[in-house]
Amino acid sequence: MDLRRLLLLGAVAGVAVALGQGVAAAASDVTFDLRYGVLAGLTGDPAADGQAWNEAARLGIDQIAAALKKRGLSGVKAELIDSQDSQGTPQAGVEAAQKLVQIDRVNVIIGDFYSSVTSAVATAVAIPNQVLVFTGGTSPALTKLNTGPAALIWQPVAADDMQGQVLARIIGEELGKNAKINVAARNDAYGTSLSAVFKDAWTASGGTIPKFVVYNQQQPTLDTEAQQLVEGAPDGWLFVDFCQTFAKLAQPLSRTGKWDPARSFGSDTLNDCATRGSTNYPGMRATQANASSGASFPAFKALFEKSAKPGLAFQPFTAEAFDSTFVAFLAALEAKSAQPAKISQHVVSVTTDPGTAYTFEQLDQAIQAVLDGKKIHFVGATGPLNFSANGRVNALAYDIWQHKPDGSAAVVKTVAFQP
Amino acid sequence: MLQQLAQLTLNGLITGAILALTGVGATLVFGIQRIANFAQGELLTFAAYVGLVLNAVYGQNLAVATLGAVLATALLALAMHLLVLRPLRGRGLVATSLITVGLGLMIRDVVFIVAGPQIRQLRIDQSAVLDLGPVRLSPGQAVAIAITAVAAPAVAFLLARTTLGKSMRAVADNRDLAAIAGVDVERIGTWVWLLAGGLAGIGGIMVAVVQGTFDPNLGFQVLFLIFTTVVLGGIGSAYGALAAGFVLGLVMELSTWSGFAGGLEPRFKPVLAFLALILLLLYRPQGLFGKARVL
Repeated sequence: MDLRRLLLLGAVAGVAVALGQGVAAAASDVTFDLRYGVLAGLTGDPAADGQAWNEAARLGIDQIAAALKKRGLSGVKAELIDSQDSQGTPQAGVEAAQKLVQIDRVNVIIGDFYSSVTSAVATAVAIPNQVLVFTGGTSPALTKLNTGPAALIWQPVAADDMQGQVLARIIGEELGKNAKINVAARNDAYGTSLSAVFKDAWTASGGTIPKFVVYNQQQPTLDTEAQQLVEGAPDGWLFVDFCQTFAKLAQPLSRTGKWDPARSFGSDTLNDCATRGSTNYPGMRATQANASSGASFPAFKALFEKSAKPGLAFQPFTAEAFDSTFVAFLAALEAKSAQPAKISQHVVSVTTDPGTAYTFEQLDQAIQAVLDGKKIHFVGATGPLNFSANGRVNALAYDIWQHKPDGSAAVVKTVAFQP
Repeated sequence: MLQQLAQLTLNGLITGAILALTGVGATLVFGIQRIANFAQGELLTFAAYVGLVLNAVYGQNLAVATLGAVLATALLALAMHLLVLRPLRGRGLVATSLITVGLGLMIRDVVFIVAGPQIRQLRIDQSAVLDLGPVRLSPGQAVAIAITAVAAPAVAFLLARTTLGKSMRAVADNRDLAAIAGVDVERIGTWVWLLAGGLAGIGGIMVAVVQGTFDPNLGFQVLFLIFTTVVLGGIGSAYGALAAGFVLGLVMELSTWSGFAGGLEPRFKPVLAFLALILLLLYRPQGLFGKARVL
C-alpha cells in the first residue's frame, strides 16, 4: 500500500468517524418520552369503529417504538400509556380524558372520532391542561377551539364544511344541479352539521330538498322515517350516518319499493360498510377525503390485517389515527421535546412541502433526516396531510367510493376540490 | 295520506306490542319485588343473541330459536333473582334498583366481549316485502305480529284466569294482604322473575326481527320506553302495561302523520313519549290504569 492510498483510506475513515460522531451527537442531545393516550368509543354504539381506531393507533406507536429500537435511540421513547373508553358520549369522554391527562400524564391524545366528544374533551380537559389532541371528528368547529398561541386540536381529516360542498358538487354532476334530493341525517353533531352544510351548498346551486329528515339513530325502528324519505318523488338521496345505524334505516327503505341505492350518496362514514361489520348497498356512492390515496395506504391495510387483534375488521378511516401517531412523533423529534406546545410548533413543518417525502414505511430514514436537521414531509396513509397552522389538513382531492354488486366497495373516481 | 296513516298505525302497533309485552314483565317485577329492574333492556339483548346462536349458528328455525331465547332469558332472570337480588332484599328500592343497573351493564359487556360489537341479524329475509293493500310488511314485522298474536292473549289469560296470574296480581296490588290470604309470596316472587325473563325473551326476538339488524345495544335503546310504558300503565298494573305499550307505540308513530298538522319531526318521537310521561306524573301519578291510593 503506497502512501497516497494510505492517506485516502485514512481520510475516508476520518470522514466516516466524523459523520458517525455527528449522528451520535445529534441523537444524543434528543431525549424525550412521548406518552400517547387513545380516546375512543370502545363499547356502546361506536364500539366497532372504536376498537379499530384504538388498534390503528397502537399499530402506529408500535412501528415508532420498533424504529427507535432499531436505531438504538435509547433516549427517545414513544409509548401507548392507556386506551380509554369514551362510549361515544361527551360526559364519559371527558371523564376518560381526565384520566389520561391527570393520572397517565399523556402528551398526546389520539381521538375521539366523534366531534361531540372531541369538543367536550378539548374545552374541558385538553386545552386547559395543554395536551395535544388528534381527532377523527369532522366538525369544522373543532379547530376553531385553537385560540391560544399553540394549536392543540389537530384534525387529520377534512372537515364537514368541505365535505358538504364536495357532496353537493358530485351529486350535481351525477343527477343535475336542479335535482330533488331527500336528505337523511343522524341526530348528532356530525349528522346535523354536515347535512346543514350540504343543504346550504345544494340549494345555493339551484337544487331542492323535498324532505329533510333528521332521525334518532337509536330508535328501535325507523320505518316512519323511511316512509318520509321516499316522499316528494326525489331524484336521489343523501345519507349522513354510520354504517351500524344506517343498516336500520336501509331495510325499511328497501321495503318501500321506492328507494334506489344507485341514486343514493353517503357521507364518508358510509364509504364501505362491509368492512365495518355491516353491509353495502350496490350502486350507492360516498365521498372520502383522500383516505385511500396515500401511497402507503395499502401497506397500512396489510399491516392492520396482519397485526391487529383477531376479529377486528379493517376500517379505512382508522388511517387517521395511524397517521396521527407518526405526525406527533416526528414533530416531537423535530422539536426535541415531548411538550405539547413545542410539538405543536412543528406539526406543520413535518407535514408540508418543501422537504423529502417519507411514509411510515420509511420511518427509519425520516427519523435520520430529522436528526440531521433536514426538512421532511411526512405523507400519511390518508394522503399528503398538509396541515395548516390552524390545525386543519388541506385535502385537495376526494375519493368517490361505490358499493359493488358483489358486496365490496372501491374507489371509482378521485376528484380535485378547491375550497 | 290514508295509506300513510294505515302504515303508521301498523308500525305503531308493532312497536307497541314490543313495549306492552316487555312492560308487563317489568311492572310485575316492580309490583311484586319492589325493584325497578333496569337490566330489563339487557335481558332483551341477551335473548336476541341466544336466538342468533340457535338460528344462525345451529341452523334452528325461528320458532325454535324464539322458544330457546325465551327459556334461556327466563333462567337468566331467575338467576339474577336467586343469586343477587333476593339475598340483598331489605336494602331498599334505590340500592336494589341500582344493582340492576350494574347487572345490566355486566350482561351487555359479556355479550359485547363474546359476540363483538358488529351488527348481527337473524336468518330472515329482510329485503322481502309482504304487500297487504295499503300497508307493506317485512317478514320480520310479520313474525312480530304472529308472536304478539300468541303471546299477548296468553299473558292476558295467565293473569286473568290462572291461580298463578291472580296471585301475581294480588301480590302486586297488596303484598301483605296477599300473604295473609295465603298466597306464597316467595314462590310468586320466583315465578314473576321467570315470567319477566320470558317476556323479555319474546321482546328481544321481536326487536331483533323488526329492527332487522342489532348489536349489543339493542335492549338499552328500548329500556326507557319500557319504563315509560310501566309508569304510563300504572306501576304494578299488568293490564295497564299491556294497554300502555300499545298506546305509546301508536301515539309515537301517529304523531308523525302528515295529516296531523304536518306531522311531528320523527326525531321528536321519543320526546313526545317523555312529555307524556312528565304530564302523567304531574297530573295522574298513578298512571292511566293505576288506582289512586289514599292513606
